[in-house]
Amino acid sequence: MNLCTGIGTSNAQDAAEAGRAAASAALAGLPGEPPALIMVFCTPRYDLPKLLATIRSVTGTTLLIGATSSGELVQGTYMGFGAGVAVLAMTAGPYRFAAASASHIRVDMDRAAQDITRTCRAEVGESPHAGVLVLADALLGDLQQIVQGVYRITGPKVPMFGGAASDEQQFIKTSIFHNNDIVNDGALALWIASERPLRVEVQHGWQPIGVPLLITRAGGAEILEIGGRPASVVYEEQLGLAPGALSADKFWETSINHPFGLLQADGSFVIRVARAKMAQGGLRIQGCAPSAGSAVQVMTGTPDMLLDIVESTATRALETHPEAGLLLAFSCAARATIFGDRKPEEAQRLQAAAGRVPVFGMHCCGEFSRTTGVLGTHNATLTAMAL
Amino acid sequence: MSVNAHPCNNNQESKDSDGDFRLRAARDAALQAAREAVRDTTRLTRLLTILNEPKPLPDLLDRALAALSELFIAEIVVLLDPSGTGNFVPKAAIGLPEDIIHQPLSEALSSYAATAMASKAPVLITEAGQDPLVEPQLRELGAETAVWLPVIDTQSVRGALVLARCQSLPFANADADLLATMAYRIGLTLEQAQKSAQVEQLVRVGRLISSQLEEKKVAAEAVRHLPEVVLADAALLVLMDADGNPDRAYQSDLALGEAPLWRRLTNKLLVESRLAASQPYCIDDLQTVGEQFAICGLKTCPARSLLAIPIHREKQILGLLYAVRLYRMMFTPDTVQIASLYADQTSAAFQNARLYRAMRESEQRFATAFQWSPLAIALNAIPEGHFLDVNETFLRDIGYTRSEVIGKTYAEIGLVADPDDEAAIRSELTKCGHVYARECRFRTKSASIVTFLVSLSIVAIDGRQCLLTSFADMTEAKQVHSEKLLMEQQKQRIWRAESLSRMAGGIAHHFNNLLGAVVGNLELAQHNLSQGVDLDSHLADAMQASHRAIEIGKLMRAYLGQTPEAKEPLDLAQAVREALPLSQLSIPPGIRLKTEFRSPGPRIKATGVHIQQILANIIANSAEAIGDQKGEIAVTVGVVDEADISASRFFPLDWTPKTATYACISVSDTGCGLDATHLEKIFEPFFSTKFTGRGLGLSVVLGLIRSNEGAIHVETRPGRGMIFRVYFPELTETAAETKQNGVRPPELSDQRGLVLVADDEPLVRDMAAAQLKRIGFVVVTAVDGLDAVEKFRARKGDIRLAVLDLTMPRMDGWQTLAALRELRGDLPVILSSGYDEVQVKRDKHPERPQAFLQKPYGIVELQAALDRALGTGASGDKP
Repeated sequence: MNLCTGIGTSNAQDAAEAGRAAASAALAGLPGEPPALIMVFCTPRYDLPKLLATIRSVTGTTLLIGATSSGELVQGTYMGFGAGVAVLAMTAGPYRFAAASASHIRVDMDRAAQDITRTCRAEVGESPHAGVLVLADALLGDLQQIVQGVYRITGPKVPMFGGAASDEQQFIKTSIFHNNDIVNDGALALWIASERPLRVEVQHGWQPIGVPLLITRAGGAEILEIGGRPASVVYEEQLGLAPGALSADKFWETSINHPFGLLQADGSFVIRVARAKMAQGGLRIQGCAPSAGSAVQVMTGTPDMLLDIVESTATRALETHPEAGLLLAFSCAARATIFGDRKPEEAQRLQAAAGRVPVFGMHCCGEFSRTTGVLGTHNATLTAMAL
Repeated sequence: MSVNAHPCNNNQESKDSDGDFRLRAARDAALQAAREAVRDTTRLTRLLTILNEPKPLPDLLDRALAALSELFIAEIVVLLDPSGTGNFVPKAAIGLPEDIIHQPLSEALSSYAATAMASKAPVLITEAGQDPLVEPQLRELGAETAVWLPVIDTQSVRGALVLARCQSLPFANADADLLATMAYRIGLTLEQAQKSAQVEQLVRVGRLISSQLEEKKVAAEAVRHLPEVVLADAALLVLMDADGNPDRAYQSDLALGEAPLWRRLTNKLLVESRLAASQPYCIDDLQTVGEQFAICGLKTCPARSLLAIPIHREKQILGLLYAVRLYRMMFTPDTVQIASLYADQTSAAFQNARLYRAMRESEQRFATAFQWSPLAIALNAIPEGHFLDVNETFLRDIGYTRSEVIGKTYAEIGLVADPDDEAAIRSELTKCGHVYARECRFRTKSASIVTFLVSLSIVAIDGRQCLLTSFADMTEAKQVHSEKLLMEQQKQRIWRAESLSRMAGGIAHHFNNLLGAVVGNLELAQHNLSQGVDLDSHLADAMQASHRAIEIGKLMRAYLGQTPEAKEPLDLAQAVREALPLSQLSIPPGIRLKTEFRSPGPRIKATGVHIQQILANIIANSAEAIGDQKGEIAVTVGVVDEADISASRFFPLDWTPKTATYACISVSDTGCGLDATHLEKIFEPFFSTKFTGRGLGLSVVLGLIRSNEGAIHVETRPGRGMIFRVYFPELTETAAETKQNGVRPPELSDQRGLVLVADDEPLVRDMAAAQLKRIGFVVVTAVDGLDAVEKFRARKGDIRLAVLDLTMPRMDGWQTLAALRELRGDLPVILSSGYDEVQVKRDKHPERPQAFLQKPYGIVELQAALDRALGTGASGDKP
């Protein structure tokens, strides 16, 4: 039994109107089968309770998950900031789904992630293969703790992917949805029980510049020192700038184009974006700061470099799954910012690579994709999974 | 912002020359090399950074393993830390799902982990998925390549570190070398953490063991917790009996063989080999011990490594505490040290348990004494004062129920009847910290007042200060005392009756004799008068007999303490010195008189003549006691403190010391002494061990002593003599000068006037009238007081003086005196009585006589009284 999907979107300003229209359209797209899962991505500017209630009034009690985003990727269309809502309705196909969520998990995200993963796994039952989709509040802090908590339950055989909810780069409030609830300061895990192996694909397109650096002091979400000196000074030096040349208010404009690459054993990089320059010379990292003792390099990327990995990401995700009925994609909002006027290209190129398989995704604020080892939190990266 | 970065730009590169290309390639190669160098450096740096963070061990290990997973692209990282216990359950892991993380991962002997531990070298496997020696869990999770590394610390190989990749990317030898270093660092961390944990365990378990209050439980707890503290599989304790032989054995759940086996081993180690007596005994192959001591049972015992630690009490060994491992893994020195501390704690816990048992027995004794005491006992909280506990006697005595008392204070119940009692007890308790036998009155529930003797002390019970009060009910004791007093009074009455009987008999004997002499001589005189024969000799004999009768009367008064002489301050030594010549007259020649007194001696207030009489009588008594034998009488005068004589038995019997110091005359003799049973009677009139009629001397002594507020103590030493000690209160002032109590010899003077004589006894009245007439007065007589008033009223202007008897019918002397003074305020009056003057004048009367005349009296005494009353003599008696 193949997976069938229906996708609806709406640009209506009113939450209820938008929700009703998108949900109705999504359900209408299904070939007469009942939905097993509803997925919602939307602008944070909506009256979210109203939006959710309206969608639920249409979709009924079907399992619903979702998040606020910084633009939705829907079948080759990029819905920009404040554009509206996208609703995906999907039949179960060869899968079984169960979700669990928890709010206010900041105190112990690792344990909360274990709890929700354990709960949804128990609900869905045993299966030969599985995957876990994780949605989280982007403002929680060290999102790697969520990845690690999930990994303690899944082990290496269960791929994990997903993204952190976004608020159109405001970094004020992000939300995730679980059935009737708007979950804040929390996370959600969707366990996907499968009869066949699932594969997550991740790429970013960034290239290193400068020399490898050693983080000598880090704390919380900040890189404090690199090579024994203030991180911001070294960072500026690597960019050929004088110390202090980057002001705090203009820092984001530069850092979004020059994230850190966390050097991996195989020579690859995991991207970490410095979101702010702190008064004491530290650099605040979005989502997950590298530990002291980590090796990093300053990276650079052009729209072309970052867009060039889109097709291969989609292709690789789909090549092991010929019967896929859906390609789920989570791309970093920072990438869209860098794309500038070429923002729609990512959605277009994803759908073009996916061919007949509908693409559904969002621009998020931190991507989850554990492929090797335990590290599964990314910035400025594109991750996708074919179902 | 414009950034001067160095991105790789293919378009630009295509335009560069070959030289530029080579230069750029060289640069990239250098960058790659630098990248790899930094990467390898950061691997170890990052691990060390994590391991140095001040976090709990599980967090450190979790982060360290996560870092290893990230740094070596290993999906699975597992740390096995059996520490010699054979337990290969992962201590920490990344990538092991929770459903298998608590399962043993490796076989102890046939796994790559065991191989790495045994060889102390890494084991690298490339086709892990097909290798049966690879742990099935790893294969199940998709591990394709893996490396096992020994985790070594400073003392031993303690476990293994496993990294597995779920992809066909083999670990390089360089990776393995670096990982070996990391495993060592992890081993050091584990070792350090283990030490800390063992110390913490030691403290925690020490508290648990120390909290046990029974020796049996101490033993059980010590055995139960030892394995976790020293990382052993089981534990066992063998305790010695009182004779130092292995006795009771306690062992943990794991069966290590029968108790006799371990008792025997203990005996061998302690008694025969003395191996474990002074220090822990440690061996990693118990079989060799079995062979050495020929204990066959050890061959079947599952224990392999053994640690034996002695349990001490001071220098005495209480037993041996054993920790055993089921694998051959020697206990490390650190662990042995921890085990020794553990044994010390256990020893202390045994000691505590013994002390607690003793304390509990003591408490039980206290509780039993408290509950079943015949005395009422209460326990009150300090400072709140409420009752914590009371015994049944208390409740019975005060009539309240337990619920009415417990939790309330004395004031709330209203127990104390007199606030002054409570204040006094409070004051004494504050001052002394305790109160002993203080009388206090309480009000019972029925409102009756009972008197208790209360004793209070502050005691600590269950760590808090309490007031322990005992109450002795004095009601019954007082009743017994009253009955005893009554019996004593009855005894006294009987004694007095006997004494009176004896005294009456003595008096009758003397007076009969003397009256016989008077009557006989008067009859002879009467006969001679009719015959015209001379009367003088018979009248003189009758007079002599009469005077002797008067003397006996005086002695009797002296016995009663009724002596008219005035007391004056005097030097006792001087008084004794002056009295001795008279006293010596009664001493036979064979008796030596020895004296010892310093001058000046102690000062007393007494009558000098009394001292003379006292001394004379006592010396005469002593001389009689010595008799015709040779002997010695010693007289000393000194001063004694009240404290030195307070416990003595004195006469008069009711005398108690009242001043700080006493002057003492001591008269000792070397006579025959006196039977102690006679001591009580020697001061009774007419008591004598010789013959009837004697025995007024010591009675007079007692009377005189009594009249001078003194006392006498007699010590008899049968066969060796007696000691009389006479005590008088010492005068502390020095000013008083001894007056010479010279008595002017009365002179009969020829006086005139009318005198009224009132006496109900005709013979006395007539004798007085005759004596007054002889002096020169005219006398009018009255038969009693009323008659006297009538007679006086008739001739009140003529009557110069009245002589009134004290004891008269119808109107006594005092009433008559008042009546006469009513009629004439300036009338001189002489009051006459057989009672002594002090006794007569003791009571208050509105009118006082000018003079007192002691009966019986002669004309001389009468003249002296007239002189005092009329102011015609040398000494006047002012009213």
